[in-house]
Amino acid sequence: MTIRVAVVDENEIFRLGVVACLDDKATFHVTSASAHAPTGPEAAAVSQGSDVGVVSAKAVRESELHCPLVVCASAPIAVPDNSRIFAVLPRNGLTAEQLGAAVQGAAVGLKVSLHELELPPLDERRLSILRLLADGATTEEISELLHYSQRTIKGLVASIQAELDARTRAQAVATAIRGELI
Amino acid sequence: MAVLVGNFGAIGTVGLEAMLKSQGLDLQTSTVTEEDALARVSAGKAEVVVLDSRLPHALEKAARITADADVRVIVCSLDDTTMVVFPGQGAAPYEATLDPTRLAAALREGA
Repeated sequence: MTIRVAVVDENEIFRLGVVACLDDKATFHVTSASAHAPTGPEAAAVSQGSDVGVVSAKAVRESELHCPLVVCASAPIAVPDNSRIFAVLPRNGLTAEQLGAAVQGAAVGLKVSLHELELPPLDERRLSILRLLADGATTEEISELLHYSQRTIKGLVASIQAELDARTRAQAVATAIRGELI
Repeated sequence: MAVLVGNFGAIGTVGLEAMLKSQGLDLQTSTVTEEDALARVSAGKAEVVVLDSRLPHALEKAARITADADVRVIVCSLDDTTMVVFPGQGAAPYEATLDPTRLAAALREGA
């Protein structure tokens, strides 16, 4: 049986790696690979043509795919009992074998025991931003101090919040302090 | 020939290999330290260094490699959708979207 897989991941390197690893095995057929989470009719069409979706944490929040999903995340994500998420795998250090096993499990309806993910160390750039946020710096001030555009800083703050599952900047700082990241 | 600094993992390495191959560059699959990368560049065994942005002080390391060896350095990770490119030859670093077109442009610079 060939398992049809849709891949949605905003990171070009990781998406290409997933596609290459799956395409390398006759068991899998990658039906689509996209940087953006499909919604509406497109999500319905992708779901119809796929047995499993391999998606990023961002994509799983935004997409309306209704096929079983294997999520590749940098940090732990909350998985409700009735979720369509069948496995959560760590992006960094993930092997082709682990990915293949999770996709095969999801295809036959097995919820692979979820990886216990440790909060990975954030990169130096994000840690610097978190430290400056903790000091009360604004986006404009961080932009000037770190020599990045304000747009980039806003994007990085959003990604920090996503990684730490924080709704606000204050919550991200609090989580980082509690987790001894900063 | 490109050389990796940092740990991109199996999936990331395969993805980088595919990206670089599409631009006519082979990837040395084993990741190396900053010092090893400099040695390989100096010996003419690498034209591009791809550096993991999650490494501590990644941007400072990239700047040092570029200054010491006058080689292009691309700083990226499996988490970001942007990369920072150090073109070498004294040119200032810049940030760009991490996609094949921008990567191709970054690899062409200084070539």
